[in-house]
Amino acid sequence: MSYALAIAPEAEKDLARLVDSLPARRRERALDAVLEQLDKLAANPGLAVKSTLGRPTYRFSFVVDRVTYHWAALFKFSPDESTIVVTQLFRVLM
Amino acid sequence: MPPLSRNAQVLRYLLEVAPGVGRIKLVKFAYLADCESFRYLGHAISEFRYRFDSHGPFDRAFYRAKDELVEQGYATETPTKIGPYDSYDYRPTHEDLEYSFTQAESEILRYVAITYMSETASRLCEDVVYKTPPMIGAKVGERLKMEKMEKERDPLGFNLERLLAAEASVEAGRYRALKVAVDELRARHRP
Repeated sequence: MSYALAIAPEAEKDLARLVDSLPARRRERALDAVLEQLDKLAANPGLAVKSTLGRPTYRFSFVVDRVTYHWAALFKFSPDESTIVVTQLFRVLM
Repeated sequence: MPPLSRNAQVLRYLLEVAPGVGRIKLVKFAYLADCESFRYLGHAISEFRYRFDSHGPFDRAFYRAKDELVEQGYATETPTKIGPYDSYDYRPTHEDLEYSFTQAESEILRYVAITYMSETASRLCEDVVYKTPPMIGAKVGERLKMEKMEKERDPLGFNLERLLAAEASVEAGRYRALKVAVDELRARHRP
């Protein structure tokens, strides 16, 4: 069973900041990639590991125009446990 | 009664989360919380200045801080035995205390105490404390360089204060479908 996906307002701002930091021509495809990656997480939350002060952390990479981006998402389950709510999206420096 | 020092507040907070710990673990908890705080906030929570002592990171100011707690009735100190060794067990009293920590600092203290409360003192030292960047390469007697924990702050990197705000939003039911938010973002970026 896959979880529904939601996002907290603060994480929406994180996503906007991350996307704004990319060249304009890559933004659309970066958003596609983020959705695709978070869909994988929704299908299997076990992909996340507990780090970042004990929070489940899902690290993912994607490629746009041959450039690899390394980002991570933190999340919480909704009180009824039907939804994964993204609480932060951030860049991971490799 | 004089106000409690920052160091005494740190110890008392850790004891509230992990009552009954001994002296070695209490000092190491404070050290690990300062490490995490340097990592995520860029500063220490306590005012301890750690040196590499024979049992790892230590500051003699610990004695003053725990004495403050005991003398002002915020904690008890009970002699105990751990195997063949004499030790002390510390517990918070019911005396109310208003802490001067930020929400992020409290979160770090809570996280450290919860995460490591079940470790033995020796495992905590060997598996965790001795592997922290300030301890790596340090020599006995040296002041530990806590700033080794501080990475260059990336404005697009992890931010603890923002995370806590987002978690509060989730608790309050303030969130929406990811797809809706992403569609809105796409529309903003379309020419």
